[in-house]
Amino acid sequence: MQRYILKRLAQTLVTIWIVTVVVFMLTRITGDPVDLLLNPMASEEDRAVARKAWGLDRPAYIQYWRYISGLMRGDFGTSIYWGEPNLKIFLERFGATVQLATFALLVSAITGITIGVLSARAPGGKIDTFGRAWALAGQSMPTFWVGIMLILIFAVTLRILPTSGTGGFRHLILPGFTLGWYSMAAFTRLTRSSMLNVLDSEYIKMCRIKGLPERMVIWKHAAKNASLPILTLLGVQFVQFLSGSLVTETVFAWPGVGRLAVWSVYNRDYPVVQTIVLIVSSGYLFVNLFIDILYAYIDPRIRYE
Amino acid sequence: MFEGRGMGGLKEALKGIPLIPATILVMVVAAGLLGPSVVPYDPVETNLPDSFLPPIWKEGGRMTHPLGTDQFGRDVLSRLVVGARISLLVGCMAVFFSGFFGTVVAITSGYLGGSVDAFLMRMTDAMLSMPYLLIGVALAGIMGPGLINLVIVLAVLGWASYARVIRSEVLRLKTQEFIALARIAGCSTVRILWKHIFPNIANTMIVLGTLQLGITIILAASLSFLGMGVPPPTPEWGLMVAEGREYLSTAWWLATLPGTCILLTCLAANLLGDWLRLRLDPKYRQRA
Amino acid sequence: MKEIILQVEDLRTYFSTKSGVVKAVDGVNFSVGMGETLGIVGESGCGKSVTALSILRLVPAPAGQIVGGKIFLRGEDLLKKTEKQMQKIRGRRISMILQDPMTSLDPLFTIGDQLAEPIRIHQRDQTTDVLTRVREMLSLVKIPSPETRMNDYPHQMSGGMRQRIVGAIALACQPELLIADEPTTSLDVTIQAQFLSLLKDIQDTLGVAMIVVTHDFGIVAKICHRVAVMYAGKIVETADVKRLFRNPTHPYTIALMKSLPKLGVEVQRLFTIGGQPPDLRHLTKGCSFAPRCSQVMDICKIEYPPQTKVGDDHYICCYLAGKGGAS
Repeated sequence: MQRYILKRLAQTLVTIWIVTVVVFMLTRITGDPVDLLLNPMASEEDRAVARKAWGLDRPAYIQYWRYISGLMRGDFGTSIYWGEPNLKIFLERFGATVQLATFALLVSAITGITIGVLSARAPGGKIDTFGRAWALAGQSMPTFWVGIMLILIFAVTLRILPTSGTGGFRHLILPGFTLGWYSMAAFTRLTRSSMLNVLDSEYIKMCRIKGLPERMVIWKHAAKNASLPILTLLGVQFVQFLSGSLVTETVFAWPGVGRLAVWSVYNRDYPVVQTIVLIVSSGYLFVNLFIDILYAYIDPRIRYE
Repeated sequence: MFEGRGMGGLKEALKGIPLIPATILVMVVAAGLLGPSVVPYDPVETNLPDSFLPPIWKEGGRMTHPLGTDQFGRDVLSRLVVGARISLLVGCMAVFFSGFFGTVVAITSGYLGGSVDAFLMRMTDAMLSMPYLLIGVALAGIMGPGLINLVIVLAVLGWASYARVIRSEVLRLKTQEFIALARIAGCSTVRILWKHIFPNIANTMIVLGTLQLGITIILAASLSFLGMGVPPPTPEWGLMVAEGREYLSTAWWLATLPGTCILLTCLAANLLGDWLRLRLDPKYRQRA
Repeated sequence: MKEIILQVEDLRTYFSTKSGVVKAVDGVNFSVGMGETLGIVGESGCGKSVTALSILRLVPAPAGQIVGGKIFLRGEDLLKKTEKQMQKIRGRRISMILQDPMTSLDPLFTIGDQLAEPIRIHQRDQTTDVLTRVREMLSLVKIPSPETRMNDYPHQMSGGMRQRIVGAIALACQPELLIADEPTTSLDVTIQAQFLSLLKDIQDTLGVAMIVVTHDFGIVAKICHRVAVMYAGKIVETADVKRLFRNPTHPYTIALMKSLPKLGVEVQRLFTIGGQPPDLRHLTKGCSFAPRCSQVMDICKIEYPPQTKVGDDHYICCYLAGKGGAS
C-alpha cells in the first residue's frame, strides 16, 4: 500500500512539473513576453527597462529556475494590474469559487446518482427513459446558455430568485445549478452504466442465491462495487468546476477565481493567469491522487499489487 | 467501412439512421453551405430604425424579419444562418486537426511502446489535467481573437482526448494475431500501420469525431461568449448570446434563439454519434 | 423408500426476445430424494442451467418468466411463494454453486464476511457463534488455517480454493438441497477430481440432496445416483446412473454416449451427431430430436412422444419405447 502511494505521489509531482513548464511557456510562445505585458505602443526604451525589471533579459532556463524557486517559496509573482502578490489575489477569491463548486457538486452528484441508480434498477422503464433524455439534453447545452435561460425563467419572468451576485443561499441556487448542469448528466450516465454492469455480475447473483435481502444486495454489495468509477468522477468534476466556473461566474457576476481569470486575460495580467492555471492544475492532480488512494483503500486488489 | 458495395452499400449503411437528428444536421449543414448566399439581409450591416423587432409570433413581429432583429437592427434569422457556417467550419476544422494530431500521437505511442509511449502519455496526462476552458481562455487571450486562432486553440485543447482513446484501441489491436502475421510476412512498420492498424481504428475515429463535434461547438461558443473567440460583428452563436444578454428582460429572443441553435446542433451530433457507435462497433455489428 | 425433497412437475420457463419466445424449459419433470444426487446432462443451450435457476426463482426478469408447472419442496409449491418467502428459502433450504469461482465472490469483501452473511441472515435467532461456524465450514471444505484465511480477499486465493469457499457458503446453513451448476467446468483438471470427491464426502456426511447440472458424463459417472438427459428444453431420458451407462435407450442418449472418446479404443474419427440443436424460438411439432435422429419415424414428426417406462425407474420420451427399445 505504501509503495503504491509513493509511486502515485511521484507520478503526480512529475506531472505537476510538466505543468509548470507549460505554464512558463504560455506567455512565451508568441514571442517576446514583454509585448504581452506592456502597452503595445511602448517605446523600445520602456521595453528595455521592463525587461530588466522583470528579469526577462536573462536566458530562458535562468528565468525558469527563478520561477520555480519562487514557487517553492510560495512566491507566485506579482499581478501587473493589482500590484499585489498573485497568491493573495487568488486566495481572496478562492473561497467564493469553492463554495459554488461544492454546492454544484452536491446538487449534481445527489441528483445524478439517484436517477442513475433508479434507472439501473428498472432499465427501459419510465425513470430510465427520462433519465437518459435528461442526460442527453444536459450534455448538449452550453453552460452559459443554461445560466442565461435560468436567469430568464426564474429571475426575470418569475422573479423568485436574484439575477446575480452573492448574498445568501438564494444567490447560490441559480449559479449552482448552472455550474452543475453538465455534470448531472455525467453522473446519471456513469451511475447507470456502472450499476448495470455490477447488477449483471455473478457475485450479485450469488448474493441473491444466499438469500440476502434485496436492500443488502443493492446497498452493501452492488453500491460498493459500482462506486469506484463514481468516486473518480466526483473528484474530476469538482476540479472541472473550478474551470467551468469561468463561464458561470461571468454570467452571474460571482466574485470567484473564474471571473478573476477572465478579467485577467482581458487585461493581460498574465502573472495572475499563470498562477490560476498552475494552482488549479495542481489541485486537480492532487485530488486525483487522493482518489486513487481512496480506491486502494476500498478495492483490496489494487493494494496488493 | 461500406465495403465497396456502391449505392446499395450506402443505402444499407444508412438504414436505421435516426431521422430527426439527421434532418437537423442536414439542415444545419445546408444553412452553412448555402445560407450566406441566400439570406435576405447582410448579417453585419446595421439598420437602427428597425432594431429590437420581436419574432413573428409575438405582437409587433413582422414577416420580413421572422425571428426579429437585434439591437443594431440586424436580422436575427440571417445571422443565425451565417452563424451556422461559422460554427460548423470552426467545429469541423478543430475536430479534424485535433483528431489528426491526437491519432498520430496515439499510433506512435501505442505501436512503438516503451519510453516513447511513457513520455507521450505523461504529456497527454498533463494536458488532460489542466482545466481546458482556463487554458483555452488564456491561450486565446494571448493569441488574440480570430477564426484561425480559435481553431488552433480548440485543436490544442482537444487532441489529448483523442490520443487516450485511440491509443487503447491501438494497444488492443497490437496484440491481435493478424498484426504478428503481417510482421512475419515481412511487412514494414509503415505498411502495417497504414494497411492494418489504420482501417481498424477508422471507425473509432469517426465515432469519436462525431461526439467531439458537439463538445467543440459548445467550447467555441463558450470562448466567443467570453469574448475570446470570434470577434464582433461576426455572427457566431455564442457571441450572439453574449450580446443579447444585456437585453434579456426586453428582447429575450436575442439570447435564447442562438443558444437553441447550439443545443439542437449538439443534440443532433450526439445522437448521431451514439447511433454511429452502435452501428460501427464490431461487437454490435455481429449481432445485427 | 427415500423421502422426496424436490418434485418438479411440468416446469416451463420462457424468455421473450425481440425475435420470438425462447422456450428454454418446456415441460420438465423430475424428482430428487434425500441424500441422493441427480445429474442433469445435456449440451450447451439445452436448458439445464435455466432449470436450476428456475428452482430458485432467479430467472432473469422481465425477459425470463416461469410460465407454468409446479416445484414442490417437501410438499410446498415454490411457485406460489412470495419473494420474501423465497428469500428465506434461498441459502437456507436450497442453495447453489455457480460455475466460475473467479467471479462468484465479491472482490471487495473478505471471504469470512461473505461466508458469515447467510449465517447471520438465516440463523439470527439461533445461538450459534458465527465465527465458530465460519471456521467449521472452512474446515469442512478442507481450507487450511481457517483463522487466517478468513480475513483474506478472494483475489488472494486460487480457483480451486475459491470454488471450495463457494461450496462452504452454499452449505453454511445446512440446506436440504444443493444445486451445482457446472461446478468443475472452470477448474483445472487435477482440481476437478478433488472437488468432486469433496462434494461426495459432504453429501455422505450431511445427507443433503444434490442436483448436478453438467455436460460431462464423466462427472455423472463419478458422483450421481440418477441422471436426467435434457434436449431442447425437455427431459428425454431419466434413469439410475448404472442403468443409463449400461443400457441407454433414447436415440439422443445413445448418440451422446457414442461421441465420448473411450480409453483404449482407437477411432479414426470422433463420432458427432449430425445436424444442429434446434432453434428454441421456432420449435417444430413433434419430437425436437427428430431432424437428427437416425431412427426417426413418421409419427415422431407429428406429436411429441409421451413419457414411457422402459424399465425399473427408467423412463424415456420416445416412440421407440413400445417397440422393445432402440438399437
